[in-house]
Amino acid sequence: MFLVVQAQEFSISKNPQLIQEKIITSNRASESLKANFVQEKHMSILNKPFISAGHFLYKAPDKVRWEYTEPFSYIVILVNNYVSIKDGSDLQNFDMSKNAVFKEVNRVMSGMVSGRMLEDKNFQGTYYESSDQYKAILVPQISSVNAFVEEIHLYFNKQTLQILSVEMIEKEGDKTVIKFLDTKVNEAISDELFKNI
Amino acid sequence: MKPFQMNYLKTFKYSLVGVFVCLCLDVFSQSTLPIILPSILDSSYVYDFSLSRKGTKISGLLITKRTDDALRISLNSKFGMKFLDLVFYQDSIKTLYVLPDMDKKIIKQILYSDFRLLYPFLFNNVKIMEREGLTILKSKCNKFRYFRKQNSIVKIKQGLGAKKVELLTEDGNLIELEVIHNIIDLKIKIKPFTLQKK
Repeated sequence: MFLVVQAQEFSISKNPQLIQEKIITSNRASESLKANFVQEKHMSILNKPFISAGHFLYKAPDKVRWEYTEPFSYIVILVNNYVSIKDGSDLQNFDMSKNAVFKEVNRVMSGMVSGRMLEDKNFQGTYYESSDQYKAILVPQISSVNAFVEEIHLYFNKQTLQILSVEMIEKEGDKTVIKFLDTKVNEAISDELFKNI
Repeated sequence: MKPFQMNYLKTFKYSLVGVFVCLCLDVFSQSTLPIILPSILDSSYVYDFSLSRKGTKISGLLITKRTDDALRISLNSKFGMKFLDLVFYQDSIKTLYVLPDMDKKIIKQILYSDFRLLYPFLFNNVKIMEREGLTILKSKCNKFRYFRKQNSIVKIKQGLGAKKVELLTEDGNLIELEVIHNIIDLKIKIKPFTLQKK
């Protein structure tokens, strides 16, 4: 799989509130989002990034399905306060309200694609723009999120206002980059996909 | 001669006989440390791992990297979240990162003790003995037995078997290994994924 990555020159936005409102309004109007994704894990322990890929589904207001197909089979479904994980043939279900870490992971994973994170008071946002993209740098203000991610960078298409990629930066500089490809908005997605794994 | 002196002489005599028998039969010979998982200096290895205890299971990616005198391990979820990042030396553990929920001394100690079995260079001052099909590492307070079959390690036992490692190999290549802690009902499973050369 080849990705063409163009270096973007971002400058700090003179009108961050407007960018924030545009993205939030656009995302509120989105009932669903369907995309393929490529995830790159950049870590100092690795000699080169570890790459995985799969399919992503989001259905408003709170249904998320991450399905990794390469190089392993792994599915995470987040619905309301529940998470189901299928790792190979093993299936596990968790009540996120009983686990602070899962709760925050859910907030990050579903909030970043739905755009809800931009209006979340627990994240302090700074906005940048390039010729064709917006970039939001979000810094978690609560220790339970700060424990596993120091900054979250969200990249949006300036025209469509759709999410392009997410970078989760850890304290020691390791990062996870998720790039969304072939994104389709407001296509019908069956609820069954969030039930059966 | 006093009874105490007689006992002492008897013990000494039996020890001499024991040493003589071992020397004659050459039951064990000196050997090198067994290799269970590959560890080329400065190369990264990615494994699929799972850790289960009493019905609870976490799984993800284990990444290892060996330097001259240490082994770095990092456990991560498959969707990117890091659980821990530790460096094991022969006599200490350095914590680079640990998720607050997992920041417990016992977790680090268990992992350290398990990874020593899998990377014996982390043992300090062990005596190595070898005979056909078996390598024994003996430290001051424990004994570790590495069982071989056709040059592949197939099982490791610590002490009387409170902890054992079962390995599944095919044509000399490791398919899967499982560290089984019988007393605390903990199982750690590792499957090789990819190798990233230096």
